[in-house]
Amino acid sequence: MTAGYFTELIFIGIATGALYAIVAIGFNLVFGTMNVLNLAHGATMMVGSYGLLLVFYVGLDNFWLAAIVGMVLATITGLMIERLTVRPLRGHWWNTKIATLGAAVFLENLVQVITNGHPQNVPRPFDPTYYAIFGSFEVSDFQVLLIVVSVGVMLGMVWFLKETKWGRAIRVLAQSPDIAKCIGININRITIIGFGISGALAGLAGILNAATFGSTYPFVGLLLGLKGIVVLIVAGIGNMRGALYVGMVLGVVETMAVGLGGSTYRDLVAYVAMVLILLVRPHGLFGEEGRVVREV
Amino acid sequence: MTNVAVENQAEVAGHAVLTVDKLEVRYGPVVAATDVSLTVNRGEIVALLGPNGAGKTSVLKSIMGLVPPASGTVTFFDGTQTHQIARMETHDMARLGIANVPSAQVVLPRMTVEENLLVGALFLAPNTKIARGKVIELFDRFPILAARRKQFASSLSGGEQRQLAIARGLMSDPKLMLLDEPSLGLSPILLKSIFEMLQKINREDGVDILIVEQNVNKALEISDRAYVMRIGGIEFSGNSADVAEGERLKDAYLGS
Repeated sequence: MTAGYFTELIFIGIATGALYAIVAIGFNLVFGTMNVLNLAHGATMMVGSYGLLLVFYVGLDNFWLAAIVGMVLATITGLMIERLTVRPLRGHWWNTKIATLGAAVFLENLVQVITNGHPQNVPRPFDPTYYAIFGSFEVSDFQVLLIVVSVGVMLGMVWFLKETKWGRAIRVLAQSPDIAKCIGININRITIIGFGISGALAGLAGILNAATFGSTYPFVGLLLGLKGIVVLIVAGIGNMRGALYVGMVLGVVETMAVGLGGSTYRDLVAYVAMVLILLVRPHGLFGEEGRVVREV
Repeated sequence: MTNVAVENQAEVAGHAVLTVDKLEVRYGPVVAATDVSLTVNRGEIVALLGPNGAGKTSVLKSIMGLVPPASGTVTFFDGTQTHQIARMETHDMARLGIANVPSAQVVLPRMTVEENLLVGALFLAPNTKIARGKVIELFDRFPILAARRKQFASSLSGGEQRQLAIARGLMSDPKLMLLDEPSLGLSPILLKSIFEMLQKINREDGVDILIVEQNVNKALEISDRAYVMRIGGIEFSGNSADVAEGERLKDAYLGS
């Protein structure tokens, strides 16, 4: 194996991992802070990718407009999931999880019925141009875009949570719902904001994924959502920066496994890595000890 | 329960800041407190005492809406207007000027001392600038907190965390403060300083206080009046000095 091929694998890995990171950050926002494991997060990604297609379907040929529509639809989906499954079941941790799973099954099968289950081709925003960096090592501008977007999203989330009033409210809520209420935070409103942003991030991930592979299908969110959960668990729940690093590393490790051993090992590697890391650090690489799942 | 409370209530009607009438608190089928009536008047520190499991904390949580009352009324007078708050959302109560200082988790562990204070006013003050000004004001009053401003609240000692919780309660310029066992787990010296602080808050800031306490002697020392609970109801009440002298206090704790 040449050094060029090796570097290329790493770079593709980082681009793939960046996508995982966005998925995990969206999960993180509602799990790490509102303690809801939203199993419809993957389905929300799928909605984002079909929202994108919808714009092309009605005859508008503008990728960026389509991307915005996809994200808006995903945001609405996130809000609906909060309103219909999370809010009525607040305080029932397991029931909420089952209800979000139900929402996922519903959405995926709804799209399956509407589209007859055929995978759909997704246009790309532009044809990727490959640049040779050194030797045979090539980078496409699309991969660079993926990495830039996901790092930007991560930094944006960190800034939002640390510096803004709403972000602070989300962090207070994560630490103590009772204190949050007592200092005047309307926790219903904050939960809605959290789900809205999480939905938008899911939409973004779904669109980036669809554009990367040039296609989408009703169950596209299943595997991607699962990868997001792996990243979340390995990084440590509630940690945004950790989610980015672990997402990247997972992407690289997977791509290496594919490049060296074949695609059979792709998913095996992710889960084996998760088990090994949890054996050493049960609360995740960046997670805090003693931070257990709280029953809200 | 005896009539002391009722008399007081009649005597100073119109000056009552908080009036709790026939409150019942339930956790599903379990009744934690029943037929609880009490009043906090303008300028007062009122203590709610009683042995473990008497239902004191439940009453406090219920007044604050953290456990919505099963029945009964709670009235709050903000100086100009009377509000029925028994069915009100907790965050709206905070807006009216009621601050709650809890006993279980007192601070936000993964925020700095400064941020802990800031969020105390951030969602209640008209704007962020006012909230930030208030933080500076409180750092002047609590030098220990000022020295630790950039530390995570989880790194503070138990006594410092209590101080931080009380300071956070003051951030919103409340009219009434509900405190749940501020002395819990504190050394005698720290305990003394916390209680002195509460007296100062009552006298100088004009904040009326309802305090739930295990440390009966200390609570009776600083309070004007006291209610003594036992097994989910108020056993008796009176001026703190009288309660401290009387035999009934011992009975409430030891059984008679």
